[in-house]
Amino acid sequence: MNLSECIRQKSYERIEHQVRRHLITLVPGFIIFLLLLALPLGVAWLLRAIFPGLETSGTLFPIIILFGSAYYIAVMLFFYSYFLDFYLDLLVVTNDRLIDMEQVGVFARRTSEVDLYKIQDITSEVKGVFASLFDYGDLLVQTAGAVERFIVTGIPHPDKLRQEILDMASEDRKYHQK
Amino acid sequence: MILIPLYALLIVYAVFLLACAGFFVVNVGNVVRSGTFTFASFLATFLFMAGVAVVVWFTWYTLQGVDWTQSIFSIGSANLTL
Repeated sequence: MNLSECIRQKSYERIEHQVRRHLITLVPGFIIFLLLLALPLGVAWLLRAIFPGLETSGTLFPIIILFGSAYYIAVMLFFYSYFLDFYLDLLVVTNDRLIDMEQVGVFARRTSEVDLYKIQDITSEVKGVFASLFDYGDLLVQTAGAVERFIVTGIPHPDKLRQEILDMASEDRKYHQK
Repeated sequence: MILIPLYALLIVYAVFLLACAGFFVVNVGNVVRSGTFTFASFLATFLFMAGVAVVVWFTWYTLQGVDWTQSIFSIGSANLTL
């Protein structure tokens, strides 16, 4: 399935932007991932220092290796899911609507959309040192539709995108007022 | 007195691997259904699979000479020994 099928793209509709969260928002999770990877090495060093004959132990050694193996697989699966949670969150801006697709954990997915002409107001917010340095932030969209508020977090260049969406909304409104 | 053999842990490990495989399949399903099967998602999936393959191979390589029939501990005996 491609994106066009996923958003049920209309014949007259063209995708203007596909926006994901800024890559820098992955960094905290990545640091935790590296720390979790390094943790067993420290524990192994400690165990070797406390129990010098550990590797020759008949039953304890395989138990530790199996546990360590399961731990590493769990950590990798956690980070893989974390990455997909980041990567599958997608804001699609077309010339007709905004579609916000959000992956919520592994087992839930939320998709909401709003017609551009229903957009009343958009606020972009860049808050914090890193957000200012790397120019990423949140976009809050007020609408007259069923979904009153759209909040998209951590996207790159929110101010530029706000302006572009406002321009497109204004164009779309002209078309719908005819 | 019931003796718990070491290979019981292998069964637990296999069940854990199956559960992880289940999560992995759900994740890949999410990628396909969301229409985001791109190079980045392919690379992440490939790296995850390669990482798991390395860990499983290392586990197998390290534990080759282990006698899995020996007992870990016995239930019902006065002493619990490892």
